[in-house]
Amino acid sequence: MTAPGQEKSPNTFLLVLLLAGTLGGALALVERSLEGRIANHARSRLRAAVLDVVPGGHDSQAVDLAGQPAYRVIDNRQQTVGWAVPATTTGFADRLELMIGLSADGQRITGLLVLESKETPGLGDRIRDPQFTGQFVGQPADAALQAVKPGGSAEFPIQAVTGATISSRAVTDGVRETLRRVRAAIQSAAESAPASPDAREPTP
Amino acid sequence: MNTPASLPGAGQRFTQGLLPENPVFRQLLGMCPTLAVTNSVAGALTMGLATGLVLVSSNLITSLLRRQLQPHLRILVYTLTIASLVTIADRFLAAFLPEMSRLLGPYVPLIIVNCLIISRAEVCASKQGPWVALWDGLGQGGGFLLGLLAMGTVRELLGAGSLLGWRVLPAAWENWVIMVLPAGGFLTLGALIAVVNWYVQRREQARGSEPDHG
Amino acid sequence: MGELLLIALSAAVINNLVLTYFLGICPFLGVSRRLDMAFGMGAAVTFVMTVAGVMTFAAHKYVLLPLGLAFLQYIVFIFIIAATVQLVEMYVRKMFPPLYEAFGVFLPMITTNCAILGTCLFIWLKGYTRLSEALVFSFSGGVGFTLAIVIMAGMREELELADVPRPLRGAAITLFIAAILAMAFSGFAGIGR
Repeated sequence: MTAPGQEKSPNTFLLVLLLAGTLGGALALVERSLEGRIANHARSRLRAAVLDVVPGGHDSQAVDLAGQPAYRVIDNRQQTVGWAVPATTTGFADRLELMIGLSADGQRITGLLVLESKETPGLGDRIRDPQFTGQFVGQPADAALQAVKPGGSAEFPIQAVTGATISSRAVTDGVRETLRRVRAAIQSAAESAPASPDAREPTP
Repeated sequence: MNTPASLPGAGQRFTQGLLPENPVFRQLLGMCPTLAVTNSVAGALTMGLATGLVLVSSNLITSLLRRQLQPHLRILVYTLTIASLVTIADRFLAAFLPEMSRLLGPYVPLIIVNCLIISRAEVCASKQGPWVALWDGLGQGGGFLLGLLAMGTVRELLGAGSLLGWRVLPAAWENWVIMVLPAGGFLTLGALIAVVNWYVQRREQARGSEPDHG
Repeated sequence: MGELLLIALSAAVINNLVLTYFLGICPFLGVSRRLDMAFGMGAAVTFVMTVAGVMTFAAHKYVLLPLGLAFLQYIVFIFIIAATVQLVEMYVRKMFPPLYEAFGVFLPMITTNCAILGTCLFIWLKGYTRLSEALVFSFSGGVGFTLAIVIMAGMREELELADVPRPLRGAAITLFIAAILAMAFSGFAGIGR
């Protein structure tokens, strides 16, 4: 029993080596040829989100706002038309990923997009609807936004989605807290950024 | 170690995998993707095809190497082979079906630990030639795909009133949200397994064969 | 600290591995017939999961990413898990024979337990960046797995005495119970807020 086993072992070793080489080579080849494509998808997804929350944008550049990664949105004359700030918050089920759009002077919210949510389909998931996210558009960036149930009141109310108060509150709190952290950084960046007066005008 | 006469041939391996030994309903293998990605038909279809592809390739490689590998080395080599194949499948999905790849998330790499693949390597591919192993992979992969599609159809139809994203039920239909939630996955699978069991048991009785259990 | 507590709570009950992510269903259906077996399996999985979670996190963050080899992630992860299981088995057999008697039989099964690989992958998908987060997440994931499998085993022990219709016996009735458990666990959602 030992003789054939020993006779076989260098053979087996070579074979395993060969298999490892083949699979490793195939992997490297696949990775080389596809990695550009995969990275492109991720980039274009991000780009679509950034341009969605800031109207009138043409392109964006990644910037760092006091440790918070964000995007400066520019038009085709390289003028700043706004800022996009990614945010995460804890929702009903799991993390929520948001993208918040701000005007060029950093004073008003221009758009909100829910990028990632595992909230209950048909209930909490409706925080993605423009009906809900649209309420944020035009609000001052320093407003004390608060989600309220129908009939409730607050200084800056956001009507919660029916049956999804917790998800709505999560989004509202996430937006408010993220903006509180980055507001100062955006305003100082906005002053130094080459934002021409006409780029500032179309702000609602 | 030549193929003993008692082991089934290519045709039998294929047909057995599809229904009599269906991986999902009869062998209860690969339960994790069966439950996780079947809240839509599209997800079920992609997962079924990806798993089938990996299964066929792994069966072929295992079968070609079946005389060379000692048992203790075998599992390790299988696992690393499957992991490489799954990585390749995952990269292709990410490159050509990015939305689907995001939807399936970790369940694509989890094909590596799908017990169906390693079980076919042990049961068939490490004992029989590449031709039989190929058909075994196609049969079991097809059976797995069938199982996932059945789950996906029931769950998407009842849970979202649609199939492959197309609305098929009338607007008056109130979606059973529970069906696309985790609990609905367990419920659907339990019901489908019960139906298959009921059918098999009835046929056994009708055939008049002596019930060999119970 | 509060953040780590939130991660633990989320991994153990809100997003329970078994009942919301369907990871580790095979042992959930197979082993959960007896309470003591289920507990042994849970303990073994929790231990391996914690070790593997931390090791794969470190390997990915400090070796694969800096070298630009992120595409080898799955292969390296499964290799680390297999090696961890082997080491744990050897160590426990040598140092703690009674413990080995108790849950040693479960160890070889764990390599292909998708809950382990799943947890290692989720650490990245959920965007955890610190070792402490990886540690807490993988340990609590194991606790959640144990919780689910032990509850299930308790119910199935009772089920032995029940008169279940023939087509429902075995997997089908277990899955129905799992559905009810999943609904019960969904009641935990929202407490993270």
